[in-house]
Amino acid sequence: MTALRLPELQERLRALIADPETLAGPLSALEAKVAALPIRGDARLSSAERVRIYAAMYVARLRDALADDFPALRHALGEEAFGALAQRYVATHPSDRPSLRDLGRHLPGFLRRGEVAAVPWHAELAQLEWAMVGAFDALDQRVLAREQLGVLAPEAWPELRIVPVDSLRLLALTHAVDAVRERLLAGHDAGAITATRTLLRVWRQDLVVYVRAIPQLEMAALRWLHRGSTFADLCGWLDSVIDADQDATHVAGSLLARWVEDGLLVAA
Amino acid sequence: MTRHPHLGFGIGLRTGHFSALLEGGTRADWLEAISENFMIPGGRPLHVLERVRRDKMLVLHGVSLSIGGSDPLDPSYLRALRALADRFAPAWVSDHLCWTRHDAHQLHDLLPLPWTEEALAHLVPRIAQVQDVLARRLVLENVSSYLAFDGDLTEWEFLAELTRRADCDVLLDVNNVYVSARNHGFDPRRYVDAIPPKRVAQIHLAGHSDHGTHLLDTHDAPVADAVWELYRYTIERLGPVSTLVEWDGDVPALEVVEAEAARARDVAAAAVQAAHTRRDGVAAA
Ligand SMILES: [Fe+2]
Repeated sequence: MTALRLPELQERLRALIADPETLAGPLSALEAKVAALPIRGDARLSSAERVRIYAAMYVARLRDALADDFPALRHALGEEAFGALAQRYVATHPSDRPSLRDLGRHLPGFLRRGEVAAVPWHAELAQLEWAMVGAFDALDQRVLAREQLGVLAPEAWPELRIVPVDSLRLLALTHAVDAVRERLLAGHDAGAITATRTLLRVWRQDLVVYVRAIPQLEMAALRWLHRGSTFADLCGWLDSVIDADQDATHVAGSLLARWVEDGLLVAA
Repeated sequence: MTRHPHLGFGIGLRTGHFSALLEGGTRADWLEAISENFMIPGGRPLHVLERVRRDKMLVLHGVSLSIGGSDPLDPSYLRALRALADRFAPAWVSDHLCWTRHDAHQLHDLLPLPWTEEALAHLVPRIAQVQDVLARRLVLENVSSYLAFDGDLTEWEFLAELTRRADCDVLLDVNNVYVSARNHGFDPRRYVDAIPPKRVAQIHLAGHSDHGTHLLDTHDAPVADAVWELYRYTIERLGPVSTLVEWDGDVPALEVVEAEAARARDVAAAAVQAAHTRRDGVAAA
């Protein structure tokens, strides 16, 4: 008969499965802890060895899930260091959502805070890869098409709503990790990486996720758009930030053309 | 005989096959999607699921319900599952007879329960709650296990009793029966014999790996010969049952998984034939 009630049994087993000591510590220490649980052992495998099977699968599954979402970071760190990072990370941020899809959401911040030894661009690379995960399965939306703009009456232009798609993510970084990521995924070394201001937009168009480096003004405009606005609002805002010899309507028009080309705006 | 529709011989929907499925569809009769992988706002996975659902029947198979857990069932998870089921109209919705979460910590593993009266009493109202939200009978799968607790019942007695008390159905994973039988030293045929045939909605087949002291349910290899043999035995006893091949690690080309499902079709056909011949032989004698 099981003496422990179900919640207590599950709590003790959960703790053992998630504890790195279950795998790293001596078997005798584990056996002492497992002896209090009504787990059957036999000649082939003791009850402690059976608990270890679950502990090993736990780490491996979470590491694999992180490797799926951060493939370039894994290349950058190498198998061993990535495995150690995954173990430290899940010990600090155990999964609390039903889907493994959400497991990595704290990883960029974990790296940024320096809770593990990492070079500064590792956190930014993780930030980029996590943005790509988010763009990949963001909401599907009908996007504003060039043809729609072509038939827009002149008097309708000021009121045209300019709303970015849900998949859009904007990253202001200090290293060109977009190029680093491509080198790593092509099987090369990260190469020499110097600090350089890098503004990226990540978005999805026709089911494909894209990353593009953008100029300062476009970044600022997209950030500003996040509040929701019309074409007239955009022109007004541009007028306040660009040089006096530039035409705000012209600048707004060229930004708009680029965004529509990239499927970056939601259809009204 | 099962009282469920016979969907034929299917395969698990896996990311590695998305391109192939979008280009050429599949020869498999039906597909099984991991529910949690589609609880997302949009993008390619949902696009692929929509596409395959146009031509093929679908089953939703969850891994995070934690029906045996001590935490309360997660209402937002149940709502998301119901919404997914309403959208894709699966033949049924399944999850596992296990626990996966404790104190809000998701372990993402299918952990065994003690086969006790206490666990039975715990499961019955939880299954009723899920069936209420889903407005469907829940189908529960037996998991592979590497440890067993002291208990009042055997796993097969427990599962059979659970279907009666909770009015739920069974996804009989024949590979899991075999893996657990080897890991705990019981006769897998006794397990199969104990499950009420009309409760079996579906069968799973998958590959495992042999680690000497134990078998691991790795889903990264072809179905083992001993599991094909147990499958043949199961179909002889149950009659035709919707069957699905799972392949999750080192996933090969779509055709390879489809071929495994086609092999299941051949094995099942021979088993049904053998069962008929035997019955006719008995009738003639
Ligand atoms: Fe299964």
